[in-house]
Amino acid sequence: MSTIDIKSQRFIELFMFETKEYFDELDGILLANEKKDGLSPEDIDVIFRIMHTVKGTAATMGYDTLASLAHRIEDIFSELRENNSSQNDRKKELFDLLFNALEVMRHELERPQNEGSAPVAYDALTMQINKYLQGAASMSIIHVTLENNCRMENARAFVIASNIRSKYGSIEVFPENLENFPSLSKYIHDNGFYLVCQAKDKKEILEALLDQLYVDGAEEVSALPQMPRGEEGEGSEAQAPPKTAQSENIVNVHISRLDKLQNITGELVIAEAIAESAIASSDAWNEQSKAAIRHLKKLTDELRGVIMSIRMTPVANLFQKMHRVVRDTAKKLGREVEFETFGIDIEADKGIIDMLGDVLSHVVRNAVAHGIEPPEERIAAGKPPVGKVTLTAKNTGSGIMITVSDDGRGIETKQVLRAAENKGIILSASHTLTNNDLLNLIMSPGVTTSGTLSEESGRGVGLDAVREAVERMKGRVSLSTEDGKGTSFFINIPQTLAIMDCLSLEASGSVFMIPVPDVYKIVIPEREKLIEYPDGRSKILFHGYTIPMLRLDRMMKMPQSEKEFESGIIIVIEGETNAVAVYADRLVDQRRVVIKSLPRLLRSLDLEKAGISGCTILGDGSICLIIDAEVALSLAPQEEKQ
Amino acid sequence: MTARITDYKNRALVFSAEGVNYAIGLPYVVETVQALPITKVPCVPDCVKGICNLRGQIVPVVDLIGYFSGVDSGASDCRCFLVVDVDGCSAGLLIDNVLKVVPVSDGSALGTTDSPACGFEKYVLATLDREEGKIIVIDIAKILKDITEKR
Repeated sequence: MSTIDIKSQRFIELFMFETKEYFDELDGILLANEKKDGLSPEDIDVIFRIMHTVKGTAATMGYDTLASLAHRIEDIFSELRENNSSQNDRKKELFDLLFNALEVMRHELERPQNEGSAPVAYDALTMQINKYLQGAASMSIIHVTLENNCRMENARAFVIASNIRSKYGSIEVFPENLENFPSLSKYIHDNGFYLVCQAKDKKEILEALLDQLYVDGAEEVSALPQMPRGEEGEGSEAQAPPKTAQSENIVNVHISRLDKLQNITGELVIAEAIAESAIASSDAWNEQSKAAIRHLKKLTDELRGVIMSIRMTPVANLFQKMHRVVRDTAKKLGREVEFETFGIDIEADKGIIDMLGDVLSHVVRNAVAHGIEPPEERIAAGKPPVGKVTLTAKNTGSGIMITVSDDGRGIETKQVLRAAENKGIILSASHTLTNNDLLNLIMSPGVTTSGTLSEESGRGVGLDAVREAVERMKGRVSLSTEDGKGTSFFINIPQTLAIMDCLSLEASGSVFMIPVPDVYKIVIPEREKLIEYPDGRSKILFHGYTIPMLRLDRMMKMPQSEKEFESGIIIVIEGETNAVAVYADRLVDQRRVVIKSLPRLLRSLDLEKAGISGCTILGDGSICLIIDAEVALSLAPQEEKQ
Repeated sequence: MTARITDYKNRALVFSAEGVNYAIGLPYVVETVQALPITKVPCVPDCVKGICNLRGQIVPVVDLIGYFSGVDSGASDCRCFLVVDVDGCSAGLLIDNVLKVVPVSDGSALGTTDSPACGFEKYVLATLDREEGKIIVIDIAKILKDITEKR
């Protein structure tokens, strides 16, 4: 089951921490409901989800026993989901089972995975679960005791069980793996062992048992006893959880506290800048104070780095969730899909990871639903029947790139064109679509390439939402597709939203920032490329096109600067369908800034529409507004049709 | 939403702005700071002077008198800021001086409202007649709400 070969200590710590949280949550639900009339449908859903997640992450981390336990419990809950009333008469059994399971899983979580096979408690629990699933009425438990002096009890029990099994078929024995654990002899000697069999065979088996060698007695019991949890198993000392429980190295902190810490650090940096300039202009500016300031700077830098790193979360969990998306979609649509993830240790800001969840679900679901063909179709096309979807994360230097690739049918240009025409999207006569055009089309609201609507995809909503979400993260979506070979979606996003490289522009004496990812080109203004209209609008010639030009000072409602046009600077912002040039007096510099959102009072004034997406505090404590490129694009008069 | 005298916890902070004494319910008051540099923000009502950096927190600066009179009071340079917080929405009000804290539960709190300008009455919770002169208790929650909704 272990698919990804990541054993890095940090992931294991995180995994243990999260799984423990899940167990605690489960504990809470069980405790709250035990005294009531059983689990509500919502609780059943929650437990089902928890078990599903635990199953997935445990398998990824190589905790196979835990994964299969979680899988069995998931089975119980998937049945409960369908038939909630079934729990009523067996409530006690269910809760006993679940509490027991929880305890076994907790032990299993803390058991070092390189130490032998599953503990005895696991077998007992599996049996208990099977019994529950098969329904109490149809199953019987038989308690078998051996003669006092038979020795090698485990081997005897194994032989007895085998004999019975050869006659009556599927019979389960507790403890399982008797033959492999000589140490179980003592347990069997003291307590005997248990067989679970079909109720209809019960009588015959009881009789047959008494005919077996060394059997002292056999009787039916109503339930399996509280199972030993490895203490009786091999090397019980070795299995005790190590005291340096890894997950204890992790602290759960609310994100708001981190935000606050980040703000304080921001202030610290500003205070430091003020202190530096104050000292620099005083008599105290000597080697000693210079060294102290240098040291202070180094420390604040480091502090900032640490805080950023705290906010960083690996994409592992996010990717893990996609396994489920692939599985569910494939199952529903009858596709066979192999899903692989790469780069799960790549990190991004928690906020980004949270926002990415929905985006990736959409794209991955699309890859399975639209990309991968049904098995017959794949075979006909000479491809292996099992399709392949890969999800990759990569560091790009300025941010991270997430790629979702499938080896399916690719996007059929004709279909997209037809769909676009149906939606009334008018295309120019030349129908040679670049990947970019294609992307724009399939990301337009309502355009779908799927012939049929399904729950999964095909309504044409989704991809436009994907684009919107990615753009909110200051990212970009691109695509490459080859007919019959497959499609890849590339999502480029910054690693963090809180810190971003920005160009600072001066207009009428004020400084504004524009995020570097939004800037397409920086152009030196030339008078002969400027076209001014009588109504005050202006355009510039850019790469053979005319694009509208906005003056930053006018956009920010400031008095127009007196500066000569050619001494200014032009920043070209490119949108999906249009581009706009922003004219400023001067390009000051490029710097990395901490982006802050505007205060609430201003946010409720719809300032976003004014072209301000946020602000930042500069080293000297002054505030600088950040230009929203999207708004600048929308402010520009739409390009006339030519 | 609108605070009434009863939720003041019975105390108000008196300050002066343009020669008039106003008071704001004490629970809304965060602090008073010396005037900070203001960064102008486009496309906001005239009474919003811009934003300032209050120890790393971005706070909008509101010219109350400008809001009341509808014209720019033009004196956004020499005063101090009274920082208020209404349900998590903070603002720095331009004021001249903080005077004192007064109890408002006594009978004078319910004095008549002989407010100066038309439209201003709705922000007046009470007018207190004290030895040092009239104190107008204003409803800051309503003012901030109206600033954001008037657009």
